[in-house]
Amino acid sequence: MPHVDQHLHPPPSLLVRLLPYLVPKPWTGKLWLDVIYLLAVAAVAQALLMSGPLATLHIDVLTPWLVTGFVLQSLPRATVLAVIGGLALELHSTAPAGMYICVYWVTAATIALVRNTLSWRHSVPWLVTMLAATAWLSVFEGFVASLTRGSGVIDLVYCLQQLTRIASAAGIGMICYGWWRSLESLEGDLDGEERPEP
Amino acid sequence: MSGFSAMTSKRRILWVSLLISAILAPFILFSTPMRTWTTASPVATIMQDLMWPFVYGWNLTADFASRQTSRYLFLSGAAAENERLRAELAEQKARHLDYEEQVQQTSRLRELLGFAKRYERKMLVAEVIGSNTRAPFKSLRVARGRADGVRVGMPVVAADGIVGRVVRVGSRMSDLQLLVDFDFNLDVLLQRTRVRGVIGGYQGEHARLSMQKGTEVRIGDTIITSGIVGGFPKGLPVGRVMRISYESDNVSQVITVEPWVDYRRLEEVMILFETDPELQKLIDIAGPQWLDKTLDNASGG
Repeated sequence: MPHVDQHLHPPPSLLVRLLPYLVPKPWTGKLWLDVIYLLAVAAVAQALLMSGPLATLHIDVLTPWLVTGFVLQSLPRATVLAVIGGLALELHSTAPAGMYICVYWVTAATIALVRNTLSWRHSVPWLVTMLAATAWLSVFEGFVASLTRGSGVIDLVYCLQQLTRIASAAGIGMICYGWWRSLESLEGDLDGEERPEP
Repeated sequence: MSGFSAMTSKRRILWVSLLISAILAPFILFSTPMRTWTTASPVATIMQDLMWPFVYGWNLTADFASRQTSRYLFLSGAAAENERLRAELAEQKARHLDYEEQVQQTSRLRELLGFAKRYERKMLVAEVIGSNTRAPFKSLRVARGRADGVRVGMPVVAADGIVGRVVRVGSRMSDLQLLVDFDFNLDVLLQRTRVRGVIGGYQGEHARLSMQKGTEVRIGDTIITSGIVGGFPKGLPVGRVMRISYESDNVSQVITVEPWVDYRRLEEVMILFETDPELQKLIDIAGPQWLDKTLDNASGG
């Protein structure tokens, strides 16, 4: 057996070992890390996008982040992320308690039910999922807002803002999808096309 | 679902219960009074504390970047701005002298009339570290919390007038419900005619005041706090009358009020260490959950 010099390949440095954790993504394999990333994204979204001039545009980064997580995580983990993401939004507004939790929870459950029938190697299912999830969020939020704040809140400006929100969420989601996909495979074993015929 | 058949029975039960809960969640939400999170809920407190390091870190970074940018990039306008500020300062000094004279005069008159001398109110300056300016669920976040003595319900004001009220308290930060929020109500006075009314949040950036049709109101009239309920001291500026419209019942008029405070430009606010004394007495006796229960019952939840 040939002698192998162990010193030719020194153990990776701390930075190299930490590198995978420094790329923010909604699925890391560790729930605590997913939660930390989610809280960081929520904090940045709240500070940068929910106040100041950008707030008028209703740009949404939290929904595509969560939706990507829902596709790639198990339902129990997705539920935990849905609750934390919903809470982060609710605790930065005067929205009724449980409104965003409810929206994300239903989204996570729906994605868990349909994801095995879709082919996630293509970008279209991702785009449709992002669009549908944000549209559901907008419709539900508008419905609750009109119930609690009166129907007057649903004006033309509000509708245009919601359209911007849906478009921005899908756009940001697809940009992140492209970036994450360049780093590693996203679809994993979630591919409806390759499933055997019953 | 191929994955579902391969699951263990325990995992299957977890999946099914999570799916059923997700389906039931909207029904549960609509059966509640749909009120915002308050500090009485431990979930809200824990989440506030979890978010604090991220909010604080972001705020520090953004503040540093903003200061560096303004220091190095916008120095060209500094000289002109300095001149303008000097002129403004001189004008303000002259006004301040006049104001102090007026305060002294009012104080003497109050004493003469037998009014109790107004005591020094304890207040806390809080930096605004975040805001949700998206309608219809607007709020502000400030860098003061339970550790600084802030409690739910404390009034919050700025130099221009009333901002709102503390609605949630974390250990290091608090969330404020704004005057323009639909759930905000406050007893106020029309400064000119001294007529009382209750102001509440309305659409967008405005508040709404309902009054009887015969009440004399003019566009531009100033609204001030009445000091009767809500913990706000009497006489604080709230806003000015912007529009007057009449209800179809021909009995009441709706007054749209523009708040003096521009919430988008707020950087610091003052939290007044005062709460509604009657309400505080009840909360002290019955506990912080009492208010939630009472409101739930009132709304039929």
